[in-house]
Amino acid sequence: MSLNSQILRQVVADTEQIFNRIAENYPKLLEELENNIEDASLSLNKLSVVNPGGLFEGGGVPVDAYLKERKETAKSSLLELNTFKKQNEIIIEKLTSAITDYHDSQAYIEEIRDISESLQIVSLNALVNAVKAGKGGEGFSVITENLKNVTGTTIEKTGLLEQKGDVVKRQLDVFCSSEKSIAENRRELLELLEEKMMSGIDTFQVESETVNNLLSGLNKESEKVKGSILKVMQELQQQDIIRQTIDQILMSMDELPMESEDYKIDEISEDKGMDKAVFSERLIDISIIMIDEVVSKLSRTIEVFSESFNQARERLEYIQSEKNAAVEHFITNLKSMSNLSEMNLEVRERSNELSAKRRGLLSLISGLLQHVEEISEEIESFEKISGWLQNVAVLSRIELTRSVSLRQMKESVDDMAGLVERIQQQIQRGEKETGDFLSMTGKLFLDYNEYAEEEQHYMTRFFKSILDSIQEMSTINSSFSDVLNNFNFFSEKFRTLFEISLGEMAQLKKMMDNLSEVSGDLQSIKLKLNDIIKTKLNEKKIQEWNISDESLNRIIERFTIYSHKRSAGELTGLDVEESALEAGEVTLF
Amino acid sequence: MAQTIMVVDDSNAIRQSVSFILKENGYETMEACDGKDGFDKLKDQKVDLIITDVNMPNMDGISMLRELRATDTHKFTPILVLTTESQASIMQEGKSAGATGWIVKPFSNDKLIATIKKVLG
Repeated sequence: MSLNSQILRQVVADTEQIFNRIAENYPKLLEELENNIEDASLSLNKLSVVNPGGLFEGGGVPVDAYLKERKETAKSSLLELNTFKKQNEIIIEKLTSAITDYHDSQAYIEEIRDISESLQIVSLNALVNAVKAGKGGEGFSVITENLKNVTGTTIEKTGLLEQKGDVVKRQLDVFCSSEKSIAENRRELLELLEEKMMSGIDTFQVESETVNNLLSGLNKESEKVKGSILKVMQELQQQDIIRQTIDQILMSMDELPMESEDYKIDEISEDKGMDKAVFSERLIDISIIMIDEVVSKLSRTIEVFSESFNQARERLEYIQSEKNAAVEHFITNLKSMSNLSEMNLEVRERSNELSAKRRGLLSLISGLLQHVEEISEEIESFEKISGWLQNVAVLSRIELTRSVSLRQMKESVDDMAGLVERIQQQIQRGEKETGDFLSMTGKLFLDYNEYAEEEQHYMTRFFKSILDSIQEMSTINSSFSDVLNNFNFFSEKFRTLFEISLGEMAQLKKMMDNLSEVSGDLQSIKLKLNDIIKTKLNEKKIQEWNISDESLNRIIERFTIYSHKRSAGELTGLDVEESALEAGEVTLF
Repeated sequence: MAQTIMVVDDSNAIRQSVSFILKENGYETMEACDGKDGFDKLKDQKVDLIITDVNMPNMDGISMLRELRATDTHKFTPILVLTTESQASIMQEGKSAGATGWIVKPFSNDKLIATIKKVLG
């Protein structure tokens, strides 16, 4: 029996070592898990707070508050830009109405031309009459000749003025349509900004919230791994039971009266020898039962360990794969942030185009104002004509008084004077309307320039601020991605400890095999003894051989585990005291 | 302040396992590897609760219990016996020696903690 005892003692020593290692490793494993969970929580906290001064470096503002602020800033800037847009619209409206009015008021030019044409006819008639009057009409002829020339010049000038008026009208039309196109471009740009930037921020917000919630959920899930580990810790008490059981087996074996090599039929021919053989057979029976129980306990322990490990491992793998999927999803969806950068480039390009168009418009305005100035100068030049016509009218009356032969021309001279007066009135009207138009458009253009400059400055600041925001959000995005990529629920140390613990399972299985081997050895000894005992019983022609209960009872009484006592009692037919308690039962006194 | 519990068991695995469960539930723990070691550590040391095995080398749990009850320090300290022994006669022996309660191995963590909470009030 010495070999079997050695194996059994080895099993006790080995189980003790394995269970001790598990007992030492598991708290470390759990501690590591708790550290991992704490680290994961810290990482998750990092993901929920933004510090634009130093991203994720303590302090800072929650991501959602930060994004809300960014959105509000962008919104208020867009509103401000809309105010500029409205102011420009008002100016353009006023300008359009001023142009229409001015164009309509250019009827005075037509009037001047019509009067001039009438004056030309009247002067022509007067010239004919003056010629008819002979010598007395000579002076008047000169006057009417000059009058004819002046009215010709006047008619020519009105044609020129009309052309210039048309140019101004066309230029103003170009200005208005260009401004409308700029306004449209600006509107499109603002809409683009609003839509893309807001949706970029929204996507970031939704995705960061989603990934954060998912990871927080996984973090809670990782705490469940703890349950599996606690189950393993509870199972450690089996070691004490296995050890006590093997102690009982060893104790029983120590009581065996014969060594295995002693089992020879000749040596138990005596009654004393038969006693020893039957006693040994019963003790071996009890030991086999106990070994089988140890094997079954070890098997159960291995099962519990494996189940707990598998549960923990499955959970670990699930958590890791979910984490990876979440990170990938987040990173894919946050490509919208890089779209924001691309959009920023587009916005800047379009904004530059707008500025160039605006500059073109300003030079158009200055050309336009120059044309209006020229019209004004032309109208001023009419004053000279007006003065001259006045003189002609006066001279005509003098000539009329001087020459009796011209008296029949009084009506024509009166007509001429009337027409001259009407031309003068129209010239005054033209001067006034052009002056009014000039001063009004001048003021509107000044306002327009002022707003345009202000808007340009604002746009520059706005785009810079958007650029800064996009830059900042890109940094947040990449920091977010870095944190996520480097974020692991379970450290390498945890995984190593976990694998070591898995290795212990193989050791326990090996021990089970050793115990089964011992059980097998005992079975063959039992069979050998059984054969000998049967032969002897046949020789003696008796059915059974009773042995003294006392020595067996003494051994069984020393058993510390009740279930073994009961089994041994059943096997040997001995009375065993009833158990008061079941395993796991608690009695408080 | 956390309550302190002494765990006496000759099985290191059991000591570690019980201590671990107790710590997880907020208790501080002390350990002894047999009755003699337990008595030596406890004779001048107050604790809130003692958990002891019965079958141990050098001094068994019931003997340690008797010795501790004889000291002023542990006359009234709750002592739970955590053992594979389930026979009424041995349990009676423990009760007579002054045990507060008897728990038969193998036990469940939850049941152990519930019993401790009940005993410590």
